Amino acid sequence: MERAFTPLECLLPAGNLKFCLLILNQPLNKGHFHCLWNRAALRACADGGANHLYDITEGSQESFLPDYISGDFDSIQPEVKEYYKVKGCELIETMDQDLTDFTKCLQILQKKIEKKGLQVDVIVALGGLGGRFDQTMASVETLFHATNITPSPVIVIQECSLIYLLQPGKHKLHVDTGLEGPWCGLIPIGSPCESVTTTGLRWNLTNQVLKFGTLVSTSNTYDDSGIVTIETDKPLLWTMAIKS
Amino acid sequence: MGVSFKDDWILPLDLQLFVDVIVALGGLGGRFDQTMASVETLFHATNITPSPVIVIQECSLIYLLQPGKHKLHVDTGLEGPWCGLIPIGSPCESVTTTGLRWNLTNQVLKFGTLVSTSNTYDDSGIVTIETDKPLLWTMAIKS
Repeated sequence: MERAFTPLECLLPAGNLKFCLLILNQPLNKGHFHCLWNRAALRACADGGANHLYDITEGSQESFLPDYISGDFDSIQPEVKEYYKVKGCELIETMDQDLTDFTKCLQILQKKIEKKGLQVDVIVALGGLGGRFDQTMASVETLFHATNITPSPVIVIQECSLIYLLQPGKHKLHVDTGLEGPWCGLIPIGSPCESVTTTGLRWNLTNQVLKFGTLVSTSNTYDDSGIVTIETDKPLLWTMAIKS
Repeated sequence: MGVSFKDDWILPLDLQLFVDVIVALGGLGGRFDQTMASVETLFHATNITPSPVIVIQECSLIYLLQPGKHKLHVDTGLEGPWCGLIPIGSPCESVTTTGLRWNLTNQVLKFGTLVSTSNTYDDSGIVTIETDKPLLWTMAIKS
């Protein structure tokens, strides 16, 4: 069974895509933010993500209130927390130290999606890939947990990068939205992949090993087909450029 | 002087470099694939040079720990508030640490199970790490 997905569909200005938006604790890109905020069915902040939301909406914070803010609240500034609390945003404290704020925020999101009976095509996390290296890795870790949390695909976007974790099996990615930037890659981040086969890339793989220290696909790009297929035996991280 | 152009190229002693560490500046921001390419280079570095190789950008540093025991001195005064241990590339079946706020004892580090991020230090100024597989150390640099 092949899973078909258009990673950058959420950034298209029009369309019927149903998605939820999570704002993470990293600097926000204004362009992505406004495009995503308006069309999201549910909007949430993970802890310090609320600081970035507050900053980026300066002057009109009242028009950009999240449905909830969750986390252990060690990153959110007290005045920001107070502002959103007074405005009626739900604040949900989550103390588990073994799970990241992003993971916990995703768990809460899925519960709300189920409670409201929402149909969700994708969950978009904004901001998980810049700044602190450990936080970038924490975003990747959450993608691993996401398969057990939600049936919806979860993507993480920051500035010009997107990441999406491909589960073992066959995948078909539509890369013809017009928003695709010039590079892409396949990263065997958690464990070696013994057998990866692709089509649609400039440098394709045929039953090849992807493994840190052996081969990692970076600075790859597309052929003209507009479609990339990937078959992998282990979880494999897809990454691609977003046109600026 | 010790330089021969014919057979053996012999460097004079005063031109040989003794290198404690190789510092790469800038490999960790911007394009995600390039960040991963920097990590990939650290894996190859063990076969390229005996010197430790570190990558630094803005407030982050990464350094690949080979299997075995390591003692990191973290008392320069330049250490920022966070650190982490990332099992990039493959799971580590047994990791033991001292000197961290949240230490590990013969624990598994593996994406999808446990990855150590947002960790920090105790007051000892020393972190020891024992690992059975290559393990990426990351830490904050005070701005």
